[in-house]
This record gives sequence, C-alpha cells and structure tokens, in this order.
Amino acid sequence: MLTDEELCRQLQSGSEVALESLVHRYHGPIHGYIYRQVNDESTTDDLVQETFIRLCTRMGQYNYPQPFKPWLYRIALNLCRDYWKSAYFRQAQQSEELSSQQVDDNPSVESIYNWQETRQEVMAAINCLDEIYRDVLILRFYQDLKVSEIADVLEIPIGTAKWRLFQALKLMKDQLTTGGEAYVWTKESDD
Amino acid sequence: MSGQKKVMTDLERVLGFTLTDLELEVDKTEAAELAQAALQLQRFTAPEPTKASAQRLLQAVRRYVPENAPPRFRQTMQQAGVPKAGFSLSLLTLIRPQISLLGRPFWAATVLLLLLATWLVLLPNNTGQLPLLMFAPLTGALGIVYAFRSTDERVLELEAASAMTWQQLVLARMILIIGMNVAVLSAVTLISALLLPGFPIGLLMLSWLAPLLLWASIALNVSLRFGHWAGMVTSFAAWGLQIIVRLTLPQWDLFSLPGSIGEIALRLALVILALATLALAVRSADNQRDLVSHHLNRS
Repeated sequence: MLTDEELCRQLQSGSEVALESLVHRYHGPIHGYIYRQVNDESTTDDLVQETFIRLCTRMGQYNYPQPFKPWLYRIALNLCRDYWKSAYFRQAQQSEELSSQQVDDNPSVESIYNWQETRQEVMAAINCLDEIYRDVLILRFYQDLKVSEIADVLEIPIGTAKWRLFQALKLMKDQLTTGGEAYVWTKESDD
Repeated sequence: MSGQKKVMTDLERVLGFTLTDLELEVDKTEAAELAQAALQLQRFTAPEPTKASAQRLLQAVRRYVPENAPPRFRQTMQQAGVPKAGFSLSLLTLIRPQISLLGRPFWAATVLLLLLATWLVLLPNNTGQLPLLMFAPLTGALGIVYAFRSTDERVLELEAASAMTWQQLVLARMILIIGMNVAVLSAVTLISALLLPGFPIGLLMLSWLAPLLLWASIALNVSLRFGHWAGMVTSFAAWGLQIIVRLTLPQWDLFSLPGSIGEIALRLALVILALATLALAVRSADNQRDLVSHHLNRS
C-alpha cells in the first residue's frame, strides 16, 4: 500500500486517484477533528471541504518525504483558527448563547439521556479549555496523533507538547465530574 | 504488575509519553483520576461522515487537483521567450531562467571554494595571488562541464528541439557561471584587501580579471565550436601555460600585480579583448539560431 507521502507525490503530478485515496483515508479523521473544534456540522462540512481544497492548491509547497499527516492537520487547524476569528463565528456564538438561554427555560432538556449529558459535559469542558490545551487534547485523544506529530502540527517543541497535554488532562479532570462511574480498567488496576 | 505500576502504565499509554519525560511525580490516586478523565473524553463523539458526503467532497475538490505543472525551469524559459533575431542583448534574457538550474550542489561548491580561497589568502607569507591563480581556471573548467551537462544527462535532444539553439543555452549558462566566478573572486579580493592593509584592490582585481575573462572567453568559443571536452582542455591548457609562464618568465605572468602603466594597459586591453571574444560567441550563437530558423522556414 502506498504511503500518504507517496500519494502526495502522485497528487502533485495531478493524479485524481491519489486524491481519492487521501480523501478516503482522511475524510473521517479530519471531519471528526474539525467537528470537535467548531461543534457545528454545517460549518464542519464547509471547513473539511476547504481543507481538502487547500491541500490541492498548496500541493506545490509539499516537499517529499515530509510527513503528510501533521501537514494536513495544520491546514485544518489554521482553517479553524480563521473561522474563530471570523465575524460569522462571533455572530453564531452570540445566537448560540441566546438559544441556550431559551433552551434552559425549556423543561424538556432534562429528558435527554445520561450519555448525552456526559457528552455535553465533556464538550463544554473542552470548549472551556484554553486554545493551546484544547488543540493538544483533541489531536491526542480523538485523532490519536503521536506527541511528535502533535508538536509538528502545532509547530512547538515536543517537550512543550507533552507538558501541554499533561496540563490539559489535569484541567479536564478538574472540570469533569468523575464520580459515580467506575471504569473497568481502574478496577483491574487495583487488583 | 502492582496496582500502582499498572495505573501509571495506563496513564502513560493514554498520554503517549512517560511521565519521567516531564520529571513529574504523580501519585496513584491522581494518575487514576487523570486516566479516568481521559476515558471520559471518549464520550464526546463526532458524527461520522457518510459515503454520500465523501462523494460530494470529492466532486467539489477534484477540480482543484494540480495540473501536471511543468518544472520551474521550463516555466521561466517560456516566460523569457525566444531571443529576437540578429545580434542583440535579448539573448541575455535567457540567462535568468538558467539560475533555476543551479541546484544546492552548485551553491555549496561555490561557498566551499570561497572559504577555501579565503583560508589560502589568510595563510602567512602569501600575497593572495596564488590561490586565485589556481582557482580561476578550475572553476572555469567546472563551469564548462556544468553548462554542457545536458549532453551527459542525455537531454540534449530536448534542448535541440527547443526554439533556441543549444549554443544559446550554453552561452547563457556560461555567462552566468563566469559572472558567478567574477563575483566570488571579487569577494575574495575584497577580503584580501580588508585583511591586508595597503593592498591595491584595483590592481589586484585587474590581475585576475584579465586572465580569467580572457581564458574563459577563449574556452567558451572553443567549447561552442568543438565541444565541451575541447573547452575543458583549453581551460586547463591555459592554466598550465600560465603556471609555466609564471615560473619561467615572471615578467609575462598575467596574474602578477601590474607594476607599470604599460602592464596596466595590457591587462585592460586583455579585458576588452575578452569581452569582444564573448560578444563574438554571442553573435555566433545568435547566427546559429538564425540559420536554424531559416532552415525551418524553408522546409
């Protein structure tokens, strides 16, 4: 099987097959990554498309055998950052705050499932994190990137990436309600 | 495995690095809480994109697939266009695209030569002339090899099929390389003058510029007429001749510092002669292209 980097080289020569392979490999991961950054499906679709368009238009800047995955995630991250800076985002945020106030008044919210509540809690906790911690957290725990790849995406030293990751997890621990549910591996550990 | 160790291992596996990397001491309880928080993160699921959305994405992105762009050299050559007919400076427009052909080895070799020459100049009891004497023909010879490398890389037929003749291309590259040599040697001369106070910089420059330009222009003309091996042999022969003259007839050594008005005039005349020889090569290459054009038009 061709590596991502070899596919990139083929894409540079105009291979649509290489593009299809890369989309097949990375559509899901990039979609998940952007979704967790922006929390909106419609915006996620737009940004995913823009990520792959940028991938194509900036193919000239790719130098084989530079690792492809961090490069692609860096494109996606920069697009998310552009989105956060955009007026559209600020407008959307304001209307979200408004709608959440309206939802809070609605008693039917309490009928959602427990897992959804926890999901919302986690989502809210991640959103509360500072950007520098949120980035490392999402890349490590949802995208399963190695620490060295995270450092590459964020263009920071590996030591800094490790430190931020540890701090991010500590912050998450503080924010999340951890009681009430014992995890299997924890029980095993105590054995 | 003890409980403590297992918890630590699990946490480190989740983090992707060992805690000792950060010189951190985490107790069992905290490690368990951290790992538990990491597990809770999994609750934040993201919707999976559908196959239909992947197809839509491909359709939208496909038109941005880069076309098989021609190499940078070809692009710049296209921009430069074909030099105008007749003897004109338009041939010099071909020089700029040749720069894109100069790869890292060329620049690395140039820097190396510069450093080596500077080191030689700085050696005690050395007037700085000998290194220049040694390097001028060597760089010239290497330049000829470089300019004719298309024959070795078997792409000459491609150049032969282009709108300009191979003589024009070689000429453009040689002028570029000679210019580069002059720049490097000027830098060395400047360093020599700065490090050796009282050194006549103008005379020193004339002492290498005259023979360098003369031999390079002769070697270029020979190369264009008889091929690059003849050009290289000429370049080295000129070097050997120069060394012999230096040892046997030092008063005729072109690399020596000109002491009298006559010697200065001689070197200036040689520079003019070299430039005229270069112009002759330009004209020869230009005529060659006209001949090809004429032949193509007739056929």
